[in-house]
Amino acid sequence: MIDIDRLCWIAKIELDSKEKEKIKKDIEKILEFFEVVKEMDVSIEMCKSLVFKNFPEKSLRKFEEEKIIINFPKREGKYLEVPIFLK
Amino acid sequence: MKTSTKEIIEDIKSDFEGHLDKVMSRIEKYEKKINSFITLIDIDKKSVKNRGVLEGLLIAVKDNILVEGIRCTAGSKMLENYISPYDATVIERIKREGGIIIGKTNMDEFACGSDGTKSAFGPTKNPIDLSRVPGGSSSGSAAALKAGFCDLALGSDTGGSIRCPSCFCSVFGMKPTYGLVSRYGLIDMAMSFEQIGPMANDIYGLALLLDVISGKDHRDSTTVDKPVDSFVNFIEKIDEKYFNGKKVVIFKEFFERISKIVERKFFKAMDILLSFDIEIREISFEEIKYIVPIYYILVFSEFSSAMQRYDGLKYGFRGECSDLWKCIMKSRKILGEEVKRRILLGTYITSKFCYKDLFLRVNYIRERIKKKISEIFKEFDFILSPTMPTLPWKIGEIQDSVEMYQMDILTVLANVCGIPALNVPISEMIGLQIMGKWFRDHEVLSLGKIFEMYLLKKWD
Repeated sequence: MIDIDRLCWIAKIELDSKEKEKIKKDIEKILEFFEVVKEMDVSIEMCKSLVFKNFPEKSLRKFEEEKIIINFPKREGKYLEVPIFLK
Repeated sequence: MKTSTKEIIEDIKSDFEGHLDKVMSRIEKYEKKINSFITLIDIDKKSVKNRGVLEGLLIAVKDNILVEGIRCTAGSKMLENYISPYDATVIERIKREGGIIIGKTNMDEFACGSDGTKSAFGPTKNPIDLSRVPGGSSSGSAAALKAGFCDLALGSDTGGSIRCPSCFCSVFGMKPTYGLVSRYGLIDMAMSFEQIGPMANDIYGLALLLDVISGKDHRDSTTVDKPVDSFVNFIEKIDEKYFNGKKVVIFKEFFERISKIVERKFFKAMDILLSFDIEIREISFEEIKYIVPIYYILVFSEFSSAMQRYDGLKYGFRGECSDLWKCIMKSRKILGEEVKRRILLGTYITSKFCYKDLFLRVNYIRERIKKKISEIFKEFDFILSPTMPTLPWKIGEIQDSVEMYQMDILTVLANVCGIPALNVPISEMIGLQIMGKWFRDHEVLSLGKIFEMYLLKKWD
């Protein structure tokens, strides 16, 4: 049984009650479709960890500041404005 | 209307402005019916200075590939007003070689779709039959190419998103080997599956664009550091004798779910190979029955992680609220239904409740499938199949998610394994798919050229 409220909270997705009902049914149907993979007889191994190479200096790219901050939804000068979270 | 890339290049050399005018007048006349573009770019007619190998060819770019100064929406209201701060590597390379970006094409939102109807900017229609889907998620690129709105196009392919619309719109489209083309500047859906790839009206166009965009990029650590020989040179020099002694395999399980007309057209096209000394064999590949669930379990997991960044704080749509958490939730409310469904599924799959049962398990199965394909390629040179199991369906006909996902049964194998795969149009809205060995993209294109030469004048 999917706890759709908890799932929405973790995924940071807001749904109304009608949407929740529909999407819960969809998800349960899709997960049922996925059940077939459990038929395969496998020994579960740990995934190999990814090793990230350090990028060499030449690959670091400098951007024009204005081109980045033009996309801020709300700003004051060069500063990005976000809702208050420390109360 | 000239569709051969070489003919178009000759046209451009003699009169670029005339060629541009013709294309723009087609767009003006037909684009409203097809809806292939999200953003059209104003082109300065006198801007074609550096011809390069692309000679001023007009290129449509899927709207998840960044072009500096032009908005990049990924088919979503979340990024409706997002202006790209830089060029993707593929775009830098295209511009350097004289290619002209004509516009950003429509696509399923964040590449979540197989039919081209899930864009926040309205569905794209199939130019061959406006009542049918063009395929997705690179729907606009394929439709624009077919309709004559561009000379070449770029798409991205995570599970068939270049090949499916190429098949349904009857154009050529290729997913290169994973690691051949840089993904720097691509808005990612599932990083371990996708590749940017070319779409064109002929094999020469594909090879030309692939020559330009492929090769090592120090900004994408998944690109492979090996020299890339010219695809154009290879296909121009190939002759039919090259294929004598080659071996082709088809998988029995692929044919369990395809429509009769697709099966008939596929085997009629395969008759071409009888003129060569090519061995064709049918074998069983049992893991095919698991391939779609395996693919989607992994893609949803990667996708839910990739989508974390869209919180309305740094860029993109921001839903106003005084509380930070509610602000993020309200911002993400603008995402489409399919996108939300995939995020929720990916979140669930990677949660402690089913991480071992699903996520870890299918990672192991993925490695097993890659090893099996590697074994098959020790004996065979190509895997052939139809590209899509049916004709394109009517717009709105398929609403059920599972039914839609199963349409990818023939295309996802190439992404799971990272092998190159090409769609060759063999009949109206029906394609033949050629898959080859890792980094043998040249051979895949060359076999495609054989089919092109023999078939395309004879299709009905």
